[in-house]
Parts: sequence; C-alpha cells; structure tokens
Amino acid sequence: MTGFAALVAACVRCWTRLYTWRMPPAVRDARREEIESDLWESSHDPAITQAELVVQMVMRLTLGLADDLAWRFAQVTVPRHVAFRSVTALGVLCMLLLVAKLSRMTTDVPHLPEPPLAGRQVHRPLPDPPPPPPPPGAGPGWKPSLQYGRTSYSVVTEGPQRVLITQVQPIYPPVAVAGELEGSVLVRGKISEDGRVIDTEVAPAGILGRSALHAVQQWKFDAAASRTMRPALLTVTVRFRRAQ
Amino acid sequence: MAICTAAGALRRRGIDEFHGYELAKQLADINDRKLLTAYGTLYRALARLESMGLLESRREDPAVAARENRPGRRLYRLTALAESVVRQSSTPRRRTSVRRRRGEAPA
Repeated sequence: MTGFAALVAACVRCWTRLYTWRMPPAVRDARREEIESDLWESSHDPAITQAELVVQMVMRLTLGLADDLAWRFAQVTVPRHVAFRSVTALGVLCMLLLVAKLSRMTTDVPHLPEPPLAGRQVHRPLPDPPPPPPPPGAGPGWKPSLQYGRTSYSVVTEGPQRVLITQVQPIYPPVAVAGELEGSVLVRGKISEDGRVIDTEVAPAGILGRSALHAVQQWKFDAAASRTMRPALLTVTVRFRRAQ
Repeated sequence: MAICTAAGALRRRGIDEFHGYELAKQLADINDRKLLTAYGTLYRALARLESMGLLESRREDPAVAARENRPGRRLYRLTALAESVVRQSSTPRRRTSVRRRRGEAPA
C-alpha cells in the first residue's frame, strides 16, 4: 500500500472509530474488525491498482457516511424513563424560554448596568411640553390629539458639562394610547464632538422604543471643548403614561 | 435482494461462505460497475439481513487468520429462508423475459 492509500485507509479507520465510539463493545469490535478485514482484502487484491484502490476507498468511505450514521443511531436504544425525562426537561426549557421572551416584550426597562458616577450630569424630567394650539374654528371642548413621553436624561463626560441645545419630545404614539400601552424605555447613545447623538440603542425596542429613539436622535448638544476628549455618554429615560 | 442474489451467485461458484469485500466485488460484477458498494451501505445491509434471518455469520477461526497474517474475517452464508426467497424472486423474472423474447404481453 502506498503512502496515500495508507493515509486514506487511516481516515477510514478513524471514521469507523468515531461512529462506533461508546457503543457496546461487542457491536463496536465486530464493526471495526469487519472494516479492518475489508481494508486488508482490498489492499491485497491483485486485480486493482494502487490508484484504483485509493479511489475505491475514498468513494466507499464518503458514499457510506449516511449509512454509517443511520446504523449508529439505530443501535442506540434509549430507556423509556430516560426518554420521558429528556422530553419533560425539553418542555420545561421551552416554557422558560417562552416566558423569558414574553417578559422581554413588556415595556419595563431591563436592568442595564448604570454608567459610572464620575462626571455625571443628571437632569430631572422636564415638564410636559405645551399642547399644540387649537386649530382654527375648534370649539371650547377641543383636546389635543397628541401626547408626549416624559424624558429625563443623564450625561457622563470627562470634560465640562454638555449643554442640551435642542430637545425633541418623543411623541406618545396614538396607537399606543388607543391600546392603553404604557411604560418606560431607555435610550443610550454617545454625544459626538459636534453635539449630535450617535450610536443610539433602545430597550425595549417596540412602538414606544422607536418613538423615543426617533426623538432622541434629533437632540443637539453644544460642541465639545476638546477634540481629544472621549465622547460623552447619554442615557435618556422616557416614560409614557396616558393623560388622566 | 441484490445481496442475496450476489450471495447465490457466489454459492454457484462453490463459495458457500463469503466475507464483505468478496460480496462487494460480486455485487459490482453483477451490476457491471467498477465502484464497490460503500462500507456503510454494505455492512449496514448485511447486519439488517442477518437480523431478518436471511444471513447468518460467524467469526473466522483466529488461527487461520494468524497463519495467513491478516485480520480475521466475518464470514456470512445464506440461510435456507434466503435461498427460498432468492429462488422465488428469480423464477417469475425468467418467465417474463421469455415472454418478452417471444413478443407476448406480460400477464
């Protein structure tokens, strides 16, 4: 057997060891002996050349992989109590994952790590913005159609405080109002050197989250005093509560 | 069935007991192919036929293998049940071919 044929034969042996691994010794040894015998017979067959031998071994190995695995799995017999426990554990795991997924869909803010306290500016919630002026011809019972979320934010920076120049209030989506959807969302981002809010992320991402994110992305701070300063971190909490 | 047919052909050549590689070569000869049956396919089929009672196998005497300086073989042979199955399956096929040769429609 040439070096290449020996290498292919070693691959066949390795694969046989792999798929018979941890099988009952009698079954495992019988299969390994059969393959070993087959390899020996084929390598000592005077009717085929070395090149043909290599091709035969490679093709017989690759074309039989699926059958090897099918044979392996057919040999595995799982006791009924083990199967029952496995199915039960799998069911419980699926339930837990489902509950976790549902809880993430609620509007509560997740417990995200707070930024460091050094250099933090905390801004209390601003008063609600004034309602839009009534349209011309509106009667005395007219109510504004849009409501807004209440924002409070904090900025963590190494340098001087960043002053908020432009603040856009997040609109409380009418669909959420109609669906009585209330809650708080958290928006995180960085303040660039020119005062824009970049690299924003929101949690939880939903209809309220999108509205809050859209508003915060339009905020504008003053420009940074130093170009070497790291970007300031902005954390905005937006609370959406229906007007009583 | 192809394995039983190949084993029947080996038996007609005077080989009552055969090993896997021998059977793979016989199968390739019957089907006029150069490529032998894959390892997994061949030995899985042999194990299934044995569990169905169509084949029986035994390990070769280790002394024989040691004398010839080779690994021990697992030797298979057809059971009586398999021989009757092969006989039954081959008989109608021959009749059909005769009818076709004569130009008759099969029943």
